[in-house]
Amino acid sequence: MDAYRQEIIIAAVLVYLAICVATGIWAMRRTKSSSDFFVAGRSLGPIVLALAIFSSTLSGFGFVGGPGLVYSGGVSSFWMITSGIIGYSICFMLVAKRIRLVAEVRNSISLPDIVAARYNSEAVRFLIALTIVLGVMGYLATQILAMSLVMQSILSGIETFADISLITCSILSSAVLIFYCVTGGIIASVYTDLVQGAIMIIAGVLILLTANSLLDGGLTQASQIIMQDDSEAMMPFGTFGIVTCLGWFFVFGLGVAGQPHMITKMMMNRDIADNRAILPLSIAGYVLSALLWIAIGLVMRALVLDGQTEPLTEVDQAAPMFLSVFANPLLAGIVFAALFAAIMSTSDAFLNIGTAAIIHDIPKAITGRPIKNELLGARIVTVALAALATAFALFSYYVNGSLVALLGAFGWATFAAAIFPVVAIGLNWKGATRQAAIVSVTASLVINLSIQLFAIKLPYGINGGLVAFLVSLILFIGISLVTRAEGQLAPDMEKVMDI
Amino acid sequence: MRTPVIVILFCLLLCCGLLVAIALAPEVSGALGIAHPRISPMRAGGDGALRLAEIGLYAFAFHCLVLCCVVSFFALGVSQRRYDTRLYIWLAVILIINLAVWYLTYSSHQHYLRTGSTAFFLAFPIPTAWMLYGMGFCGAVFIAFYSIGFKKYVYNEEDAKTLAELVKEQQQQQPN
Repeated sequence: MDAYRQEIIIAAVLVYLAICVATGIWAMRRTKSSSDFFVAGRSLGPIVLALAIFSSTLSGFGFVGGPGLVYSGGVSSFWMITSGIIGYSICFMLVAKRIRLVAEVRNSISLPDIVAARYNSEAVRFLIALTIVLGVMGYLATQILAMSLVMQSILSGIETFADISLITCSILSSAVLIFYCVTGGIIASVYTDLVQGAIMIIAGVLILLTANSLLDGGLTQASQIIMQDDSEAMMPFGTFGIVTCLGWFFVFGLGVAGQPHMITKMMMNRDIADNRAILPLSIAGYVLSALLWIAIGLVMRALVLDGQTEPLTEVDQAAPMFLSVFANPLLAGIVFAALFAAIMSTSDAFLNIGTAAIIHDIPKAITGRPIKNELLGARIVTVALAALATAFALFSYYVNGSLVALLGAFGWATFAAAIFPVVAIGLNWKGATRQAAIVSVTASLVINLSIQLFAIKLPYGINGGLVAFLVSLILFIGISLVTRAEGQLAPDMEKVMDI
Repeated sequence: MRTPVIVILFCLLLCCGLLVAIALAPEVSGALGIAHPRISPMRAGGDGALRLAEIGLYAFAFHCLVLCCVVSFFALGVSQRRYDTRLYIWLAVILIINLAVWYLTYSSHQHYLRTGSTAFFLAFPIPTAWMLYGMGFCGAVFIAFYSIGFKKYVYNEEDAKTLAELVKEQQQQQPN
């Protein structure tokens, strides 16, 4: 079987891509309105939604960057995983019910729609839509670049495609993404997420079993090898130190409730009561998929330290090297398909919310009414946005290497700092005011952008995103307490917040 | 409904104070780890006790406050009319479990730094096992509260009726 390793991997990825295309064609028949395109007509069941939620948050970073972080820095990055469990719970408690209530009462189809209804303000709608567009461009370009690089590394392994260019790979992978997003909108996106989530869970479990079998003493022996070399790498704060880990806990934990690609999905379930099952199902999927992150990182670090394999030249090679050397070819095929799945499930979610912000929210915030034939416009904008992000990714790769990384890093922390206070607190506290929303969103954008642009480094690894998040939260609550909320909340929103 | 928000604001302000204290603490070499002596681009942690010497307690207090915030956010998600004694007990238990796990993570690491020895639990040294499995358990407690207390504290049939009436009202007001 080893002789056909590359062919098996390519076959697995092709089967996966074919499933995505088929889902797009199937979903096209169910997409008849902009509500279907953006929020699946609020008709999704608990299993579909649970898998869609976790798979869209665990991007390619979890499958490539995560193991690389463990290989390079020991257990520090485990804080990102464990904080996610609490983060999901907070997100469901603060956002899942309220966002779905507002969506039904106001027939909202996007996150900016929700905040515009809550604060009775087009300015807040515009700022949130702008935040989404800025964050989405960076995130989407990062994901498309990762997808193209993975495809290039897979295809170049066989003679026929040995010299395939990155541009060709980016066109091929983006074409599949665009096809199913344009034809089937969010319906195609969530049903491919279902497949993607299932593949990610299977891959996580199988990789754990494989990694555990590589050393006689399993993962315990891997931990002992790492500890003998450098005990701090296996201690709870890893090599990056306590302040970095606690910053990650705050930004990645609480920040979950500010991620628009995740919380928008909470508007799509057919019954709010399903949330009771969706939360544990999502977390179970997330934890099982994250096993890959932990297992590959630990075992690769231990094997290199033990001299059983050559050191990696780049930390992000941890997962590809593990798959190409230690995993069964069939498993490697599944994991590469899972990697594509992880990247695509995040990309399609971003494409969807970015399109909604451009075609639905920004025009509405400026002119006060939606554009005509929104569904057609949404399909055109989806193609344009994906093409722009692909061009942006390639430009960054060949001309300005830091551009995508800069905007990618800008993404998560900006969403957390700008959206969490306005949505998670604002939907649960009648005292929150539009003045506070405008100031906190603006402050979070300015602080995050300044930290990225000027590459500001804080002592002891204090996370810049943490600072922006803290400032944004304090401004939001503080300004709300000193400004008057009376008259800002529409009567129906007041009733929604009493439920 | 202001109480959780005031608690959150208070905790966040204290968190900011602690971050300033950390930022002003004397810099320790290798606070963010050091390049691995043999293998590039791997990193090593170096002297764990030295790294925590100036800022360990600030960081410990910071995370205690963050956990208070987390529980307060959870409380904020419950409508004021649903507040009862049982809810306060739930929240207190969740907070105590979270603080206990954090204390055990931090103190077992301190114990290791003093003695240089630790046992292993399910593949990880005890301090890391507390962080990984203990925090996972804390997450499970939040999930348990959400799922078990869903009808009492989050959403039930009565709320579904209220929503249906509200939607009907809205549709009557905007027939087009």
